[in-house]
Amino acid sequence: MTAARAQFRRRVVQALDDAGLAVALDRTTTLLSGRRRHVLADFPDFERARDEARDLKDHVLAHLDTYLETFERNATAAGATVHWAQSAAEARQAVVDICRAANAKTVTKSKSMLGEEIAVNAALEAAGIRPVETDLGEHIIQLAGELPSHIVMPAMHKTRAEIAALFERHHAGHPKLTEVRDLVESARREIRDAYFAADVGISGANFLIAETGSTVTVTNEGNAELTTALPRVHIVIVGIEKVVPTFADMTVLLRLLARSALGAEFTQYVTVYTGPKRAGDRDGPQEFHVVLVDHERTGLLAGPYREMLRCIRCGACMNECPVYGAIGGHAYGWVYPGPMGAVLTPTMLGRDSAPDLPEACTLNGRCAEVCPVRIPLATMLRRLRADAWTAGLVEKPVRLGVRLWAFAATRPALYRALSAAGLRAYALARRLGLKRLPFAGGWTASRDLPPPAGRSFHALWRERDRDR
Amino acid sequence: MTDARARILGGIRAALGPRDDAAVAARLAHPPAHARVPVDADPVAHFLSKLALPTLSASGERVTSRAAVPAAVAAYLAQAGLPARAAVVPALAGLDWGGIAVHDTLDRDEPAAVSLAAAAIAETGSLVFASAPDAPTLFNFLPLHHLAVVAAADIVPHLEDAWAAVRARGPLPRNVNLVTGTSGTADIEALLVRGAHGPRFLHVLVVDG
Repeated sequence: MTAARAQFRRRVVQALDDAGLAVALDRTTTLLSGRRRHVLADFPDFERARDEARDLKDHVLAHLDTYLETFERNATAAGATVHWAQSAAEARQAVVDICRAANAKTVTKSKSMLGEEIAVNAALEAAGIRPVETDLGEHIIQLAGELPSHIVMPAMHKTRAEIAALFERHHAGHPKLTEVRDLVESARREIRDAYFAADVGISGANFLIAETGSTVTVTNEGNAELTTALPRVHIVIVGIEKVVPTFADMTVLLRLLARSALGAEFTQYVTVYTGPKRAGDRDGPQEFHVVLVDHERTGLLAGPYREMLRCIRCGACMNECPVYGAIGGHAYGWVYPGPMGAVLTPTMLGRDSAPDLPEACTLNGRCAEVCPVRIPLATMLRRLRADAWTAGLVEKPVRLGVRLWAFAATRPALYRALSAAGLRAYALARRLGLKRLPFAGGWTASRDLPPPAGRSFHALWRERDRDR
Repeated sequence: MTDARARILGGIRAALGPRDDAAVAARLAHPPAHARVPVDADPVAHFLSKLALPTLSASGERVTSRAAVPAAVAAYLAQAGLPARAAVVPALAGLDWGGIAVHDTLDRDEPAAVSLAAAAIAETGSLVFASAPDAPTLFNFLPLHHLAVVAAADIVPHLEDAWAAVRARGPLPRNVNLVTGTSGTADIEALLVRGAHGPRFLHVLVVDG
């Protein structure tokens, strides 16, 4: 077994044994998926909007270079400085260079999954710059030194007691708190100081609008606006697939995003940023930088998983996934969990990094049913399995088992004979007290072996045919 | 950095192969019509009904004219148990603020601020703020209590109408902020708490005159 497989299985066992995690997962996924279903009632044209969203995303991807150049041209005309970064290392370097040029000591950050993807915080810290996460969930996992466990609610796995302990340790005054409201107030006070101390504010972008060169954030707390209006410099880090042609196109996706992510009609704050401070503005940054990051996206564009680039990072798929619901986000081993993570991790980091993820799927297809941009997630996971087989990555016992089964299944008479013999042997073995099945110890360790049906399906069918 | 730009664009072009970009110019010039959410015939009534929803956790009232705004603000401050003092955006400085002590700078923990919205959206119950020298962005995000003034005539049905209204005023400002109810977070045990970083209280004054 490879190291990656062993690690995944260890994390899964750990997650399944974690009763507190089970409570958190059940609470979060039930709440979000239930709300999502409820909120669709007021949007009669929701299915049409999904089709429009899929089509506009496919159109952009088919002309991605042109739209990125259009965005760059319009953003530059509005006073932005546009940077391009192909690898995660180049992206980290671009951010650190801008911060160094600004003599930054403290940097505030609003939530950016791309930032997690390229591990920008570690690069800032290595450069002697202090990054302060301002989104409450990101603040909590920053204090805990952990990865997010859900792309929309990154600290959903933490109990209020664990969070209270973190705040007591790290917040000024070492408060001893128990109520959730008091914890939120403590974070509000703690982070407010950082907003005013920051030399640079870093945000992500939910959308890039090509026609005006604007970036857009979609949030609930107000932290994105405080992160970006106070410091001298605002850096946007964003994946190249986030560009859309016009405000009208952005609006299609806006109507789908909060509904799919939270079961809410809209989020509290949607902000469109176009260039730096204008003459006479009393707040806002003097410098506005946009770092366009590739990091494996052109690879996805060129291959059979291009539709994954439609993703708007809503998290609806993981809220429906029974596997995510059982093991949680950290088991997936990287920043993206659930169905979208099971596709992105092997395709971005390489098949060897996560061979088990596409296999940890029941192919129930609920993820694809709820995806606002109709990404065929289950089909992609199945394809990833086929790719792994072709590349010789499937373990020897499994290959042998499948080969044996294929040998019998392509010889119907042999298959029927083996099934009939197997059934008789099983019935006899159960009468003799068999409790465990060989090669199925994991399954039979906690389940009773069912009584055999007696006759095989083929035998019953032949009888039925005769009786006609 | 230009090297990265060339590599990325080259990679995209290699992935996509030769194609016709006429579709891009056509789409930018004429974006297709998209599905919308139904909105009542009276956008002002629809907007006020959205404000009243618990999901927004905001409050609102109609005011007869701009001149009546200071009295409404004074009443709000009194019922909230706040002193008769507020930060007011320069755009509203010309009103007769009477007994309220107004200032146009913001304290780090400003208790109450009054700002002026460029528009509001019935579809979502959102306020639309456009940054400007007389309308700084931070008035909408720093205070604990945010009072927003919007003209009834500036309340539009859909999101698309709001973008059109802002863009009709000239080149896009540095920020366009859509504000829909009060700041909130459910990051701790999925329990919703208002006033995460932005305002905990939002009161909208819809001006008829």
